[in-house]
Amino acid sequence: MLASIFKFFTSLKLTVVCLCMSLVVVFFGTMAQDPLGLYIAQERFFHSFFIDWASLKAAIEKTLQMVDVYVAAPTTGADVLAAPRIPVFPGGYLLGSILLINLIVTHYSRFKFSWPKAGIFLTHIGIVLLLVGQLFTDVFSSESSMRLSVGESRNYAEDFRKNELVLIDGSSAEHDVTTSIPQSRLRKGAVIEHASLPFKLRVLEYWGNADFTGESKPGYTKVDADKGFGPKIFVKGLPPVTAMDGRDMPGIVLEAFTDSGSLGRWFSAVGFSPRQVIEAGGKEYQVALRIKRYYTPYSLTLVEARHDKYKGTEIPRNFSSVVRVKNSESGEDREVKIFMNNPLRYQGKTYYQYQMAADEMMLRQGERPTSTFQVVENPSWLAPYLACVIVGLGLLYQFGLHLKKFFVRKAKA
Amino acid sequence: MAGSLWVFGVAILLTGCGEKITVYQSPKEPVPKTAAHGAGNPHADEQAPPALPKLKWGRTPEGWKETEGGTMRAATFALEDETGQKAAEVAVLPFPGAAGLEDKQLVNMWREQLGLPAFSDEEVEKQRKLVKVGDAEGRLYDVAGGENSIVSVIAPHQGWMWFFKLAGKKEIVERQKSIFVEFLKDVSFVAPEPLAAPSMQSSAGDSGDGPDWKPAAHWSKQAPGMMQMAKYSATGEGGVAEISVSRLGGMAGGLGPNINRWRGQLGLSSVTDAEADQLAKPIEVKSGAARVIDLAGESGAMSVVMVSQGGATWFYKLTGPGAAVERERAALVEFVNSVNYN
Repeated sequence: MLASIFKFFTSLKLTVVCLCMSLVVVFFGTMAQDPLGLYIAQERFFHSFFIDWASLKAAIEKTLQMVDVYVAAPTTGADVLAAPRIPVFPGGYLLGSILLINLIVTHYSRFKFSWPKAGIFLTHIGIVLLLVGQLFTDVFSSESSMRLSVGESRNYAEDFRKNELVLIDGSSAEHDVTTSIPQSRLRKGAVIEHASLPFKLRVLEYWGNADFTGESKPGYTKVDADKGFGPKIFVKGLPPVTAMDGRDMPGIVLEAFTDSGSLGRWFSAVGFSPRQVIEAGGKEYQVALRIKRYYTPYSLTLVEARHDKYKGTEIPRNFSSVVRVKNSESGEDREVKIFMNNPLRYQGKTYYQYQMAADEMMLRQGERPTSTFQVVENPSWLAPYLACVIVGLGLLYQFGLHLKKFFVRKAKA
Repeated sequence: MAGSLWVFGVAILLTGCGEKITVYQSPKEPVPKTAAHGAGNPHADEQAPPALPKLKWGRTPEGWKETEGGTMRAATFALEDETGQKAAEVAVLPFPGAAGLEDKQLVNMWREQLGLPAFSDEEVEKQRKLVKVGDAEGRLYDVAGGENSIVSVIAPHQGWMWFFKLAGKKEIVERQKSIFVEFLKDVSFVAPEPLAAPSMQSSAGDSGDGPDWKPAAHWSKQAPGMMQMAKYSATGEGGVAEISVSRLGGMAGGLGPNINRWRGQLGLSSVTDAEADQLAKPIEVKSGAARVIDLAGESGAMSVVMVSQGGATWFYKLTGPGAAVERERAALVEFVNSVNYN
């Protein structure tokens, strides 16, 4: 059994097959970005172990359309999300994992270190580092944003895509205790329980993207909630947003219950509803569906936001922000200027100037200028650079060795 | 084959690993203003507007007539020409802090009002003259347009930014400039006294130097931001909404740039001018045609009614969580309908 596994993973045929399949995945994953949008395509083709039939179908249809073959009703992002995930082809994670195992096992079984082969050794190490680094990036990196008005301070950034259901226990005088339930757990019918909560939650309704209104309109249905402001809200489900600069606005109806019975039904939606209160176990828990937050042990305050334009035109010349970094742990309190290609790198996070609303018209309307930073955290950001250097050195060594041999042979001849 | 099955099994196991519920501590945030178990007193959390400091001065210059200038002004003087017509005005406005405003932005705002191109940092610096304003130091800017001029002095004093503005017909402003500068030397600042909580009763015509209007009964008056004519807040189920009124000359920068700026504030992407035009839906208000823009984004929602009136654009802006904006939308339109511009 072990011998057959070992043989399977040391096969050169496996390497070739995986590389060929990777080409197919990259091709169709790229094609799928048009009908499905970047994020769904990434998730279904590259960040998954298997590609499902609906996603692959969307990519094939797009390819056919490009060679002028008519497709009656092309598959959309909404169709893909609604369809059952029937695996039909290996995805990026599976191919990457097999290639990594293949590389390591083959290397271990066949490769014996010697100086003439040191270049190959280095090249393999570099490729392993590249693959592992990519996996670490996928798992540990995050991209978020921090929007600040002038004078405003924040100690958290908000995810570009993900949302969370939070239950905040504010009974402590010093801090809030937040129970964060990831969006992936919020599915209709799901029951959520956690040791930090004296009640359970049942998801009665969940809209991945929806429009909410306070008045009855055609196409909108009344929200089935009996607590807070939910009973007055009407909802209409919308297809998922596939544009890169858009985001879904999800909504939820929850029932909180204990062994003694139901505590009530609450409605919450991202950007639409403020926090509401559930009373249980002698405490108040603030509940809200909100954009996923990443807290930091320091705060940023926006001191100044500048949107300079070329004189006499509306063409932007410069966007820059001055922020005050305050870290109570280290006692740090300093001002930093962030502008194009000059981000703030602090405690593993990088703050790039991203959006700005700070023109003169805004000031005349009595609005405070705002500045938004893209916050990138990638603990393995160095891995691809290091991997490329190692692969480069390995190839240089190996080819250099061959070149040397060539010149030696030529000299002898 | 066995190897393939093994890989498949590992893959399925890995696929099954989902995100976990996490518990973390974070700095305290304010308790929500609407509780699920009842809204309680809708005005319970309203804040009193900050009290304004006062201005004292010695002798009022000849030809200056002190007039009522509105709640946000510390003093207003009307300056008449030879025919007895009001030809210029001196206004004194204190604002808390500097709110991130720079002299360049202010100077260019005044220049834009007079139809002049914007100045660079260097040009603004060249224009700057230092003058004495009581026991403080002020920065004087002289902006002269075709028929009108503005002489402004910006003077920071004990956390407040004071604006002294002489504006009107060019010849009157030029003639009065030296008197204005002398007047500034003679002023003194009086620290603000705490104000009583705002009245919960709405009243018509509370806009000071603006037109008459009737805010909704449940709106509570707030201290307006810089350049705003009025500001209200409305509390209820769905959260707190803010209503502000501002007025800008002419087209106020155009529809597209305004809509894109508001979209940016809500985390939404920019739209083209044609798309912006579609977003601004025409509505009928008492004073005539107006346009309403409803926007909802990740950080809340906004409803803005734009009314063109007397060569200016009036912005009636409602902001807050989506549910609060939905709740107050009808009241906003009613408020706009109550405005008497005459």
